[in-house]
Amino acid sequence: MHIKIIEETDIAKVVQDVMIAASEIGFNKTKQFIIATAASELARNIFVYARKGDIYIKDLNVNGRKGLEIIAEDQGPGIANVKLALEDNYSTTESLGIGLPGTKRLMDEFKIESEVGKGTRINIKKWLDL
Amino acid sequence: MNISNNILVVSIQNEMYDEIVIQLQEQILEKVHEKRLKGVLIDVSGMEIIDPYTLKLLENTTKMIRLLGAKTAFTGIKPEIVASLIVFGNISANIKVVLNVDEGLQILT
Repeated sequence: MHIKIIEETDIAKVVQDVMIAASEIGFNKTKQFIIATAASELARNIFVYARKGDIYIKDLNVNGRKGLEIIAEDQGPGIANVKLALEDNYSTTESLGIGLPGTKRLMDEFKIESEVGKGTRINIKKWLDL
Repeated sequence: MNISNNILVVSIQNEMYDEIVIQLQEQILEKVHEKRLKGVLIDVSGMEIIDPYTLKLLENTTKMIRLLGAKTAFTGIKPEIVASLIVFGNISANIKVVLNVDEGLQILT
């Protein structure tokens, strides 16, 4: 599933679609909210920092192991110091800016690639059996 | 939105976009000022999700209402939402939460 982030209402669309996808895979209510909160954070980062970008929601099935993967991609300004951005209390705008460490805590896997001037790609996964 | 005993009771339904939260914030502030209300009780049980940013918006609404001389309380936060916010961490939820509308009306009066 692919959702383009262009306007603010697209963030709510991501939340809804992630909740549905997570429930279909079999995640319980709490896990559905946890994944949706992480996805919301990624979508919001795109909207706030890059203005536009893409969210991909994918079902995972690796050797019978089920899960949900969310990819957030943008061609925005990129993050100069990824290590610093993953520290708590780091913020570049006054909006909230603590998104990344919190998002990482919510999920089982978290991968980030970012280049200044080129954009950011974040990949998060939650496994059903963990 | 309805007023009971000088308390404004606001129920937020369905999924909320930030823009709507901000619009609602303005409406609440106007009402509090115009009617010289003592408190605002916000029922968020209709909200599908409250992410950290939305929580921040709600917290800011509380601060603004306080500057007008009124108090604010929230009710109806889903346990799943609480769990997500706690795992997310680093959240300053400086808001007053009550068990239900009745308790809210009592505390704000």
